[in-house]
Amino acid sequence: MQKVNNQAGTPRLQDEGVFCAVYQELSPAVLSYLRSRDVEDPEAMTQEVFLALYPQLDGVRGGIKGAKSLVFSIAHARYVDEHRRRLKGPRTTDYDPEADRRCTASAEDQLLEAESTENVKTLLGALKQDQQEVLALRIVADLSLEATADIMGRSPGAIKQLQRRALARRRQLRPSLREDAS
Amino acid sequence: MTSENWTPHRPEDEEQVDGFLAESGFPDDAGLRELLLGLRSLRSADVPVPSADVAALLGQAPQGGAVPSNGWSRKHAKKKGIAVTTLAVAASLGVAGGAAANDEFRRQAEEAISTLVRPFAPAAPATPAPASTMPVPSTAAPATPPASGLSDSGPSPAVESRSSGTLPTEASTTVPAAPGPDAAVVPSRSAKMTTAAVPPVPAPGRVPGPGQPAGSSQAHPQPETRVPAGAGPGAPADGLAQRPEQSVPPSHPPAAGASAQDGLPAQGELPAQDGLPAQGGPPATGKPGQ
Repeated sequence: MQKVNNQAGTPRLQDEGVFCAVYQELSPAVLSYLRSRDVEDPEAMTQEVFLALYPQLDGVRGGIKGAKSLVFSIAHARYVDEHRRRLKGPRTTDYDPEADRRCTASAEDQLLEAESTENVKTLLGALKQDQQEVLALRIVADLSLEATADIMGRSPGAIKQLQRRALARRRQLRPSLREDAS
Repeated sequence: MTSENWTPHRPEDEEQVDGFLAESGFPDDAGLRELLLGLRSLRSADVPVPSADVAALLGQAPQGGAVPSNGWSRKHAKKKGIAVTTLAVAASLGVAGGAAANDEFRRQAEEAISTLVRPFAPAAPATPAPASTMPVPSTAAPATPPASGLSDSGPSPAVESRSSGTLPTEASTTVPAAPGPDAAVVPSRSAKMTTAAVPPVPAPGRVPGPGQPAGSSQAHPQPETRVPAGAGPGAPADGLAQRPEQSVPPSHPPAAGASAQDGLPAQGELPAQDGLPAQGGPPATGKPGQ
């Protein structure tokens, strides 16, 4: 988990109003990130992330940037935990019709969402886990090189190298993917 | 990707992807660019519906609705509630600082005051005081604080003046003879706006003429100006004209010379209707100070 360093002179994120603002600002990105990582229940995990964030807000420095780093640190950790669980055992989930929000989505929305998921799988599926993670954090979560390095526990140089390899790998796979699509 | 499948990307997305590609050593790779833009397009702008626990932290009642865009929390709701209450009270006293800056509000205030004051003028008919409808609580006084500041600065006539308390100074003004509902209304106001608050209809200069621009003399009734007896309201644009003309006794000088200084409407202008300061009287045709 990323450690948030105190920064002198920066406002502290404390009260309910700040949490609201952070939620409004970052929850869409967190949800998008978790969807791109193909977690079992991205909506529920998003809520877990913010529940875990709340008690730590008081110690966040750096305003919204600091909060963003912390939020995605938590989200990344949750994703890793789930990934490890899935590796150990089969994915299971109970279907709860009342919790299924798809009933309100139009058929078009559902189709678009499915296509998006497929696009993500197409884009990232052929890459290694850490390469996928880098692309998800940099592109979907829109994190900086330094923030991504902090979250993944690597140096910025190592992250840059990982990016390069991920894109090179994707470029190599492009012709084969086109054949599959056609 | 065929042309018919092409979808426009947001400039910020393109900028972000281009920067990423340059950073990674692939600045000119169109294929990778499209792939990354596709990945980028997965970003959603919709705020997910918070769970019950998160909603509680957000200060909202757990419900299926989306998170309010402004993220109201209980604390914000309380503050808002207090602010609304204060504003309502202040408005009824004509001391709402925020409203004071509003010309429209001032005009309404002036109307209300004139409506209220007119009945107190000599031979004024027992007109049901619009002010009587104003539910200004006596505790409205606390709402004046902002007004006090306004009264010093302000352009806002009636409202500010009221807020400053000059208007309703009991000591400074006397309620004209006309009693009745109007008078009853007066006491309902804060101490500042009690009976004393109904000074004779201010002279045109005093009475913040409805429709008079803020900061004009209208808001600052001048002692020397008078509402000409029988001089009907100078037909304030916003309706004073409709009120029966009444001769206004020479008004006491604005209870506070203050009124002139800080734009207090002629004394005695009490909020008439639904919280709006009563019109002090005929709109000053020649507003002093204007």
